[in-house]
Amino acid sequence: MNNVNKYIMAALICASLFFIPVTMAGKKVDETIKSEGVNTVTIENLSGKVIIVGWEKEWVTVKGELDDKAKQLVFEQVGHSINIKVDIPKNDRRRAKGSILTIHMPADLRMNFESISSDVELENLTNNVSVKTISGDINAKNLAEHIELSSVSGSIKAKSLQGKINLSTVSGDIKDENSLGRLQLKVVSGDITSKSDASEVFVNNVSGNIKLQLTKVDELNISEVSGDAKVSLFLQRNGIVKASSVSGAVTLDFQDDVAADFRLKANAGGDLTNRLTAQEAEKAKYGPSEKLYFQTGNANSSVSVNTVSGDITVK
Amino acid sequence: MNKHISDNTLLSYVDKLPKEMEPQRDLWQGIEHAIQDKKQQNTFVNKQRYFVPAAWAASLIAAVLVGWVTFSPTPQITEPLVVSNENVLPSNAKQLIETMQVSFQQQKQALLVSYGQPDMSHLSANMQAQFEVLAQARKTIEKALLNDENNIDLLNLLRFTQQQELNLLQQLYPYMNDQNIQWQTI
Repeated sequence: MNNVNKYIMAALICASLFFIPVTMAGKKVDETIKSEGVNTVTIENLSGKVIIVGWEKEWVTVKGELDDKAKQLVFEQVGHSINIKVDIPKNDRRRAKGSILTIHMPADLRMNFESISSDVELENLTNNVSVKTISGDINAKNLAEHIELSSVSGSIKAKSLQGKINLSTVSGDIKDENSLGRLQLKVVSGDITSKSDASEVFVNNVSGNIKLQLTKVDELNISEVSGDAKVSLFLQRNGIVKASSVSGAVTLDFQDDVAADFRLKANAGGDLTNRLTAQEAEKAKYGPSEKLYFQTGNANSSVSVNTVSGDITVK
Repeated sequence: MNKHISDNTLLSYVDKLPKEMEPQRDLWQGIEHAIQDKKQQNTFVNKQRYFVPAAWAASLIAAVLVGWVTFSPTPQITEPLVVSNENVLPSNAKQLIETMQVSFQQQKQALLVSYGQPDMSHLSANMQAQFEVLAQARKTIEKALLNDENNIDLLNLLRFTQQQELNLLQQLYPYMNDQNIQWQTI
C-alpha cells in the first residue's frame, strides 16, 4: 500500500508539472478599437517589449502576451485619444518580467509612449512621435514630423527619420542613418554615429565619441567635453559650423572647394592643424593659447572651433 | 492792428525786460542726472564689445538666482579658484564667472535637497564616472577662464557643462533606487 501511495504521489506531481507553464504564462491579448475621431494614441508599459507599427487601416489593434503579474490591459478610447496601458499592481512591479505587445495603429495619428524598462520598436509613423523609456533600447524606422526618442539607460537606433528629430540617451549609443530635416543628438556616456542628410545638426556629447557624415549642412553645432569628434561634411553656401570641446579632439573634413571663414582657437594647450591652406597657427605671446584664422574661396560660410585643451584639425 | 513801433521804442522795451529768465523750477538736478547717465552710457558703449554677451549671460543667471535664492541654502564653495594675478582681471568679468559658479552650485544643491540628498554610491560606476568627468571639465574651463575671462566660447562651454550635470541629476536621481531599472554597462 505504501508503494501504491508513493506511485500515486509521483503521478500527481508529474501531472501537475504540465500545468505550471499555463499558470505562469501571461494572459494573451488580441483586441481592436476603431480609430474614428481619434488623433492620439498613448501607450504605457512597465517592462518587456513593445512593437508599434503604423498602417493605413482605421483601427488600432493590440496583440501579444501580458506579463503574468499584469492585472489587466487597459485599452479604451477617452475623448480623442486611445489609451493602452498594461496595469501591474505596485507590489508586483519588481517581479514583473515584461509584456510583449505588437500594436498597429493608423500611421497619421500622434503617438506617445512611456515605459520604465521596455525595449521599443517603431515603424511607419508619420505624425508626431514621443518615446520615453528609462531603461530600454529604442529602434525606430520611417518616422516623420516631430520625433522625440529618449532613453536614460539604453541605445537608440534610427533609420530614415525625417522632420524635427530629437534623440537623446544618458548611457547608451545613438546610431542614426538617412535622417533628414533638423537633427538633435545628445548623449552623456556613449557614442554618436550618424550618416545624415539633415541640413541642421546639433550634437552634444560628454564623454563619448562623435562620428558624423553629413551630406548638406546649413548649420552644424557640436559641443563635447572629453570625447573626440570626427565629422565629414559638405558645407553649403552661407553655412555655419560651430564646435566647442573641453579636452576632446575635433576633426572636420570638408568638401574640396569649401569656401569659408575659419576661426580656430585653443585656449590652454591643444594643437591646431590646417590641411586646407598653408596658414599656420599663431601662438599667444603670453600663455598657452593659440589661434588660427584664415579663409578659403570667397568665404561665404563660417567655421568656428573652440577648445580648451583638445586638438583641432580642419581638412 | 499793426502799430508801427520805432526802433528806439523797441530798444527801450528790451531794456525794461529782466536780464535773466528763471525757470519755474530748479532744473540743475535733472541736468546733473542726465550728465551722469551719459557718462555711464559712454562707458557701457566702450565695453559693449566685450560685455554685451556677458551681460546677457549674467541677466539670465540673475533671473535663475532670483528664482532659487528664496528656497536654497547658501552654498559653500569649497574649491576656491587660484588666481595667478588678480590685478589682471577686471572685477565685473570675474564677478560674472563667480555668479555662474554660485548659481550652478545653488541649483545643484536645490536639486539634491529636493531628492532627499541621495547617496551617490547607489548609482552605477559608469554614471558616477560621468559626474566626475563633468566636474573635471568645469574645473578645466574655469582655470582657462582665469587667463581669458572675456572668452564667450569658454563661458558658453562652462554653461554647457554645468547644464549637463544638472540635467544628469534630474534624469538619474528619481530612479536611483528603482529596482525595475537595469543599468546598461557601456
